[in-house]
Parts: sequence; structure tokens; C-alpha cells
Amino acid sequence: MDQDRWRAVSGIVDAALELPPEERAPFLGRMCSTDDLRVEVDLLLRACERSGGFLDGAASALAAPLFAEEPSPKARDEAESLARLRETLASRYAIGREIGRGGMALVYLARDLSHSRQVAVKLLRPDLAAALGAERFLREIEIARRLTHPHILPVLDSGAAQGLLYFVMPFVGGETLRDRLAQEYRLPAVEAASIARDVAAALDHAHRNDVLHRDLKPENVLLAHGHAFLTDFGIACAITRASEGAADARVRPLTGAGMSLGTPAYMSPEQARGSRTLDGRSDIYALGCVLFEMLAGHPPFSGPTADNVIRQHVSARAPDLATVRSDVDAAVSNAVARALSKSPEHRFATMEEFANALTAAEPEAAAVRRAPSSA
Amino acid sequence: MRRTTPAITEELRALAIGEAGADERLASLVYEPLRAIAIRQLRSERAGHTLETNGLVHEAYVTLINQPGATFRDRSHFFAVAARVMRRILVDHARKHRAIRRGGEYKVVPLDDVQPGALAAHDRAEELIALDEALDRLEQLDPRLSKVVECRFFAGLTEAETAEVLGVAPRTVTRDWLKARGWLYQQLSPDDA
Repeated sequence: MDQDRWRAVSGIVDAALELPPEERAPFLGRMCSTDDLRVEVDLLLRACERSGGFLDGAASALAAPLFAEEPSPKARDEAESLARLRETLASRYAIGREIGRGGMALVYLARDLSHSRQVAVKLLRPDLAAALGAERFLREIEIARRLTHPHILPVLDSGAAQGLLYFVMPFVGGETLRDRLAQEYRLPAVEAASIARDVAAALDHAHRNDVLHRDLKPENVLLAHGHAFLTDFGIACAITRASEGAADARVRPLTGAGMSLGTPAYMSPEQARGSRTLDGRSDIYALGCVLFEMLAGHPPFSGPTADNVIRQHVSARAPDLATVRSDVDAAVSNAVARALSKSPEHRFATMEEFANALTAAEPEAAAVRRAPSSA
Repeated sequence: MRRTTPAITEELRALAIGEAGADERLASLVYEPLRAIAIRQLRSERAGHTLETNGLVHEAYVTLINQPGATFRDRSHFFAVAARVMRRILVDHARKHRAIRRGGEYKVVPLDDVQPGALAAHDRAEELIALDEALDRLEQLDPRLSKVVECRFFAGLTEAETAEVLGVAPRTVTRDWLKARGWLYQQLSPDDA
């Protein structure tokens, strides 16, 4: 339509809109010189009558959802990874909402289609996945899969596809020990000891199978149904080991991959010194640090830099728990102190011994403890 | 937050004496502040607060033209420019949204997994873009009708304010608004018109 035609249509429509409906038809018959003009006038008049409600709200209200989500490039990458994960796993898992995220992975609730159960699918962060590589990831996962213990959350499935590395664990709900400490600061002494015993039992099993954890921390301990479970077994230590480039000289170190390994708040002195011959007593030290934190509200050593904390692990005397918190049983303080010995020879020889020392400290608690249910 | 914005007042004065290019300069001056107000208001609206539909442009006026000497005419000039800028801001945003979506190669996911609002946002981006394109065509035919749509719909001005901005009788605005809506409706819902 050109402007002249529009002016004709517009003028007739203006006049028609002023008329009562019954007078419009004769008026239009008189005014419209051609059938074409009549058709255009009729169409516009009809549209005017039908457009009630159209553009009634404000444009800003219409646009509001657009302003609500202005995804960052990182969020877009995550959305894209999630879309690929959904596609990759479509035949086996229905991926649902995000239930957690950490420095290592994003966690999604999912339904295992063949077993009709809820699972947690953990998708490694892309930088980590790239640095770790599929081969090493799957090798470490395989080690973890061989560990079967009531206090180790099993790896049900794992895979590498389209640059994504993922593994699947049972969904048990609950929260990590880190979440719990963030809320409560200090835990009741009985509960702290109970959690430490569960973790010790899990690690004892791993040690008997010649597997060290090497990266025990509150983030890797899941609390659910009144019990503690070790999660991410294998992955966490693969990352730590790769970051050190230790044990296996052919392994490319992960440092420089642009990820933070966090403060080495739970690292044994020998691990901090880069020893190549670690044994279970290194994990005992780490569990001593975690138990110390559950009771004191902070780990035994903290400082402004990783170097500073590492130096303290190597040479500073661990604070005495009894001076930090008076309601802790002397037997527990002593057990923690022994676990935190600088020299591995002065610690417990095995996780079982550590667990027993904690059990002996609370005979009543030990008596009422029921056998842990399977996750 | 009240700021004195001499540059904006300057351009308003230039507009008042009919200086060439003043409206375009004013438009680029108010784009960012208006966008900031829109984002803040629309996000708080999403968070459950009520949105004053015509509040955006009014708030911008109070915030940006904090001048005791500002005249009635300044207000009209400001509203006219702000209405056009609001249209640009919302449509720019819709286009950006569409570009992101297309770039992301989104796959079909089960409905219950879709983030709330994601579908709505997509539809609305398309609606806004289609409306903007139709409005460009309307402007070719009848510039005043497209200005009425900018004032009423994009800036949320009342009929009286729109009449004031365009310097026409309120009755004319009523009729133009009805006709413009009809024309756009016809363009955007061809099956129904």
C-alpha cells in the first residue's frame, strides 16, 4: 500500500468508526470508489474491532522475561554442556534440575531409565575435563568402581562423550559436611566422632585395597540418613595427583589449567613436601584435620596463602583441641593430636586403629550405633 | 539517585529551538540511563514487585532532568525521545536474546525440564521483533501512528500525555491508537484479520 492509498483508507476508516455499526455499510458503499479500496477498508475496520486487548499491556511488561535472564558467557557454556549431556545420555538418563555445584563438577538430579531410580549425574567442569583427559578420568573412575563399601558412595556409571566427562552416583539427598559446617560452625562432639568413624571405615576399606584417597576434605563427605559417605572417590584424588604431577612422571601436571585446588588445609606434611611414597597414614592425618575442624569450627592450620598453610603443616605445632573446645572428651582430643603428628610413625598405624580410638572414647555412642544401611 | 545531567538539559534546549540533530543526540545520551532503569525496574518486577507500567519513562525524567527550570515543553520533548529510545532498548534486547539462542544450538528438552520463563522469553523476543518490523512499515505509511504506538505502548504514556507530546488533540490520539492497533494486529495476525 502506498501513502496515497493509505490516506484514503485511513480517512474512510476514521469516519466509519464514528458511525453506529448499522450505518457503516451504506456509508462505505458510498465512499469506496473501487472494490479494492472497499476490501482494504473492511479489513482494517475488522482488525480494529478485533484488536481489543492487543498491545494493552506495556511493552516493558512484555519484555520483562527478556531482562530477567541475561546469561553470562559462563552460564551459556554451562547450558550448552547440559544440552549435550542430555543428548548424550537421553537413552539412559532423564536429566533434571541442578542440585549442586563445586569447583570440580556440576551435579544434576536424574532418573535412571532402566532401573527407575534417582541418581546424581556429575558433569566435570570443562577446563578440568580438558586437562584431565578422558583416558585418565576413566582409569581413575575404574579404580573407584572396584571399591564397594557401605560408606563409600558407589560410582554406578561413567563415560566420556563429546568432550564431556561424567559419572553417575546414587542420589541420596542430604548435604556435604562443608555445607553443614557452614551452617553450624561446630558440630556436637558425639556427631563429629560418628562422622569421623564412618569416614575412617570407608578409608580403611580403600587402604586394604591399596587405594589412597589423598584429597579428603569436608566437600567430599556427604551426610545423609544419619551416616557419612565418601563421595567422588577417585576423581578427587585423580585431580590432586594430576595437579602434583607426582607418582607418575608421564602424567601432565594439571597446574596451570586455570582451576583452583583450594587451600591445602587437610594435606599431610609428607604430601605437602611432595613425597612420592605416601601411605594410608597420610589420609589419617587428613581425617585428623577434618575431625579437628568439625570440633573446633576451623581446621588446625589456616593462613593467607597456600604456601603459608603448607609450611605450618610441615613445621608448626597443631593447636591442642582441649584449649579450643572444653567439652571434648580427652580421648578424642588425644586421638586427634596423634593423627596430626608430623611424623607418620607417631600416628595410628591404620584407619581401623584411629576409628577404634574414637569408638573407645564413646562406648555408649558406639553401642547404640546401628549398622549403616546401604546407600 | 538524582544526578544533574547538563548534557541532557543542553540537548533539550537545542531541541526547543529546533536545532538539527538534537533529538538524535539526546536519544544516544538517554539510551544507557534508560536501559539501566528498565533493567532495574523489570528485574524487581520479576521479583514480585508491582510494575508501574508508565513508570519507566517518568522515572527517567525525574532522574535525568533534575532541573527546576525545566519547562512543560522540555517534558514533552523528553517523552517523545524517550519513547523512541525505549522501543530501541527493548527491541535491541530481544534481538540479542534471539542471537544468543540461535548461537547456542538449543535442543528440544522435556517440558518439565525447561527453566521457568525460558519459553516465554523466547516467544516474547519474537513478538517484539515482529512488532518492531511492522512498526517500521507503519511509519512509512503514517509516521504519527507509529509515534502514538511508541508513546502509548513502549513508553506507557497516557492518552493525554501522548497528545501533549505529539501536539494533537486527545481525541486524535484515541482514534490513531485504535487505528494503529488495528493495522498492527492485521499485520501480525494475518490468519485472523
